[in-house]
Amino acid sequence: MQSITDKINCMKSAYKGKPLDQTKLIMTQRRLMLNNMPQIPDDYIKVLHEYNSLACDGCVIFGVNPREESDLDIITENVLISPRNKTDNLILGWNELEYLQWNKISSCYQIVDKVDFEVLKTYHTCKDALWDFLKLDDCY
Amino acid sequence: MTRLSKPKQEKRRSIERQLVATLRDKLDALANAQLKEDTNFGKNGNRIVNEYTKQHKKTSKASSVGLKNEIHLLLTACGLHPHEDKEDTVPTTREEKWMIHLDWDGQFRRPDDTDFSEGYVRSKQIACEQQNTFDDEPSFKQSLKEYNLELSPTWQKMAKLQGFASCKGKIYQQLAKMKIDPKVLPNLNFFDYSEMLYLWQKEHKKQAFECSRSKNFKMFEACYGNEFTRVMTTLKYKPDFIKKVRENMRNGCGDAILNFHHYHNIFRCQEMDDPSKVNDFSNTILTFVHPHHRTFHFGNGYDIHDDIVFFGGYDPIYQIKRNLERERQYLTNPTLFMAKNAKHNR
Repeated sequence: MQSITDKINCMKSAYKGKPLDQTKLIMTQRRLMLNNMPQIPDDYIKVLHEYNSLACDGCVIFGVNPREESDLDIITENVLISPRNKTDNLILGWNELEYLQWNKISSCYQIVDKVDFEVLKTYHTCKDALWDFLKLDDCY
Repeated sequence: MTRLSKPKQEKRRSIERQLVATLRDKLDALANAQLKEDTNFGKNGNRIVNEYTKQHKKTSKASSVGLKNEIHLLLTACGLHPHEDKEDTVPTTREEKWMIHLDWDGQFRRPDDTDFSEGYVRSKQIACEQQNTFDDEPSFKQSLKEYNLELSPTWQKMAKLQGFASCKGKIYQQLAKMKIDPKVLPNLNFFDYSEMLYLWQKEHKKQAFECSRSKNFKMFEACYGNEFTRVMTTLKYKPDFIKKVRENMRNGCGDAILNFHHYHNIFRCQEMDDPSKVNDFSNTILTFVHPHHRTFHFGNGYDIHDDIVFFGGYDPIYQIKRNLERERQYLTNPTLFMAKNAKHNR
């Protein structure tokens, strides 16, 4: 995870949220559970403890109520994006064409098409998923 | 953009900020109206009032339907029109969708093994066997001249997308290198070509093509950089920030708060006269991520007039209209265009 945070630290034009407040995390996990949504995975929480949400070059990674307005908030975004019947997937971010989601059943991260949710790529670690999704290889 | 006096500019900006804040609040309320309340009690039995609980109390009376209607009314009052799907539109196929994705952002995604065409898989297998087995017959060398991409319907489709148009030579190189049987050319699909480009990129350690997204940012900066600076200045963004954003655009990158919206998205590109133009600059509009871009996709989607190239706000004074002549000049010769406008465009 250190290499991701090092890379993100170098990103000059990114919005980086302040480290996550533990109380807010607990409240959010409770609220997710209450509303039959998957819990935020542990390795994603590690990222949130460094940056509670990220936005760069058209990509957005959700956090836990990172700002007073609820944009980039994981619960708000999932409710607005997902249909009423909750799925086993938790959307963690989006760009112009795709969502990054956590698939609870398969315990993996996936990049899916924004319209029909077709899985385009699967990752087993948060680091690999974020590296690709945020295009950190092309990082400026 | 209309030149207004400073007090009028301030007033319009204030109204814009209120409108943006209202839309954000409505979207937030809509999300909360659909969630179960978290009745959280502390150790002493005192109710812990958090921001979610407070918000839910305020919005509990407003139903989801009511809120959706309010958002709809606000958006239509701003000149956005609810999208109506055209009847009898042919849906975009899975292959076309992957093609458009790759052309847009240049990110290679590995498909399933079953996605490759039979002929391509078989050719690779034969080439591998020939390379790795002892054989009395000398291994054949594939000549570039034996390939003709005109015979490939898939390539003809791909070549219409602006990103892939320049990849013809690279594909020929890979076909010969991988010893793909020329007879299978008419049956190759997008996933085959995608892998060839990926392998070329991996071997040469450089991008196989410039993606449409990058091209569009560069084009926007070259054609509309000055107007963009004026709009952003009116919105009270700092000069250093605006300068940095423009510099990123010149390098083909965006920013945290801006991204492109497609007028006709991938799912609906068949509604276009020419679906291959789906990622072209003419089908994209630069806008703020939240709430602007979010509102364009609200419900079944909202259409904006396609003569707008930058949607900086719901008030028209924060929008930039297209200059088709300028865009045509840029597309004819980008280097000459930028040289001509170098003095004025900083």
